[in-house]
Amino acid sequence: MELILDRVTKQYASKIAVDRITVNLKPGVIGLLGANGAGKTTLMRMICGILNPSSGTISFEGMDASDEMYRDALGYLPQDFGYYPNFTGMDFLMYMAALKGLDKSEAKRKCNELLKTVNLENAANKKIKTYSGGMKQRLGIAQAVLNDPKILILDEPTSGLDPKERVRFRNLIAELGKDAIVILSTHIVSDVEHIADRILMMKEGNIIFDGNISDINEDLETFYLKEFGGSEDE
Amino acid sequence: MSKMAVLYKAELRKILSKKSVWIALLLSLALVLLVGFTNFSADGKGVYVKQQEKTLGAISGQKMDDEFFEMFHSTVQKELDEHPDQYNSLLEYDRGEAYKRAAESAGMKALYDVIYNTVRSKDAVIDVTADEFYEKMRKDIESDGLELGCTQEEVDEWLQWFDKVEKPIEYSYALSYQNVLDVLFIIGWALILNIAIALSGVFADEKTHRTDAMILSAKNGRTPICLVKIAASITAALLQTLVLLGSCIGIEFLFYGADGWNAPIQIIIPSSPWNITIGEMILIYAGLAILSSIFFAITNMVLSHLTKSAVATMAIHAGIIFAGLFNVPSKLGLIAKLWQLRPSMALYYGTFCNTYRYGVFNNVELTTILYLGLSIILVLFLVLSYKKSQVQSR
Repeated sequence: MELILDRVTKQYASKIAVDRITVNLKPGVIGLLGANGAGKTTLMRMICGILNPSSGTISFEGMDASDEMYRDALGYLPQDFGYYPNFTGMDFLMYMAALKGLDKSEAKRKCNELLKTVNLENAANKKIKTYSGGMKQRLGIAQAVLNDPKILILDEPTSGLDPKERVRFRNLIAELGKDAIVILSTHIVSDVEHIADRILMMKEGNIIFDGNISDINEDLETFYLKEFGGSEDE
Repeated sequence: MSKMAVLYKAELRKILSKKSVWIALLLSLALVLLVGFTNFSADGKGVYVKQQEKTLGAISGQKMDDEFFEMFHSTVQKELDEHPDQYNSLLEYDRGEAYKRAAESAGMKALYDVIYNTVRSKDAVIDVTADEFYEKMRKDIESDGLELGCTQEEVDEWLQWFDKVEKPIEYSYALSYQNVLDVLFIIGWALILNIAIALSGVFADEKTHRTDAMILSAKNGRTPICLVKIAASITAALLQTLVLLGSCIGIEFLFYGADGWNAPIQIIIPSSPWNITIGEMILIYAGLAILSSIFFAITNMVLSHLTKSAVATMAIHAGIIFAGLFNVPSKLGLIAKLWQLRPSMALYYGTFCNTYRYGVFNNVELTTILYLGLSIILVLFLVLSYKKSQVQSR
């Protein structure tokens, strides 16, 4: 089970957002670190098949990112998680489950299970517009894993979560990473340092570091700041 | 299948949960009912209507021959003779108007209108005979055709059809259907507006709600969801059409009864060469209303997908509605004929008799072919285009 990115490039009129990235990703949690504007979201969108690369290929078990079966293996939580305000949490998950091809009975079972996992059991029948930011984010996480994805893409998943929820979420990700390729994009180092099996650091569309935490002889945050010239905002 | 049912219900719910959809539909409904009530109210607060129902209902089914016209003239004359105080002064300076008022009082307004709409002169109504009545019908078909820019060959074709209509035609009190056809024109406008309000966000709102990325990255997030959205949108459009059409027919039946289904359409459109009944015409226009609403729905969906903005989609429709207010002079030939097929005119029954080139197509047939053809092409375009959708930076 391998997700292969081969010279993936995304070029806009006057800017190269992602520049010839080549990586092979295996099951485990992959932390994608980088400052805002580094190209993380663009890369993730291309991996999700919702943004065509200007050049290069993305494939998983012989399937191209544009294939329906590739999407069947995919779970995605976008950075700006959207929802339908008048849907309840349960309605939304059932809708997403149908989109992901789950049968109604299976979807119902899975939705109940996940609502419990993300601690939204009691709010399942409340409209999403009444949810707090953290609750919405947890709902987003639940929808991403509805289909037991083999490739799970999480773009800034911890934003809006309180410290307790972050810990709970990290444990969930670590669990999912045992059987799936989990790509977790963030600019918060502490989100990935304890659970990531592999770290990818992006800067100006390029991978500037690809390795395990054990390969780094210092604290990840220090290393990260060093790589980014002492400031995350650069 | 159950997955598609879940998606279909969710998509329909997204459309119908908007308050603006219900507000627009209620306003349109109120307008339809108001027009129906205003017509009724204008007819002497329904007094004449009830009288007409009795008088004209009794002669419904009779052939409009010389005997029929004599009966009409004698009934009106009797009214004039019995109430000289009401009509004598008017008879001196406007005999036609006096005759019209007497016909109304005698409970024959709807019949008077049928005759007047054919002879097109109040004075001519007074002593018109059956032969003159049908001759005038024939002449009007010819002059209307030429006025519309049709060729003499086309007009000759019309006349041949008219000659096949069995004469004398059978009279029927068909006011409810006539009003339904009148209101259909308003319903046509209301549908453009209502469907635009309901469906302008079908695809655009996914971007607004930021759900597009999740949908497009899901297994059924391309062609299946696009087809489901199309089905749900067409359902919503049809629901609106049926509500407006049903309420329009309902209120007219309530006020004017349901007589006239089998009457020839010349009772409603004297200058029509078509040999069909009013009932058939109502069915044709109901079908056209349904087809039009499907076409409007598909147009909205395509615009919603292309512009990714509900406001832009609405703005384009506002432009279409505005442009629809203008007429293209018939001397411009083909352009004028095509312009008659525009959405705002699709349900205008006044153009029903307009038939073109060697009688191959009439307005209804052309509208049907055009809307059906464009609908199919647009659906194919939408599905193929949506399949390739991308999520760009926001």
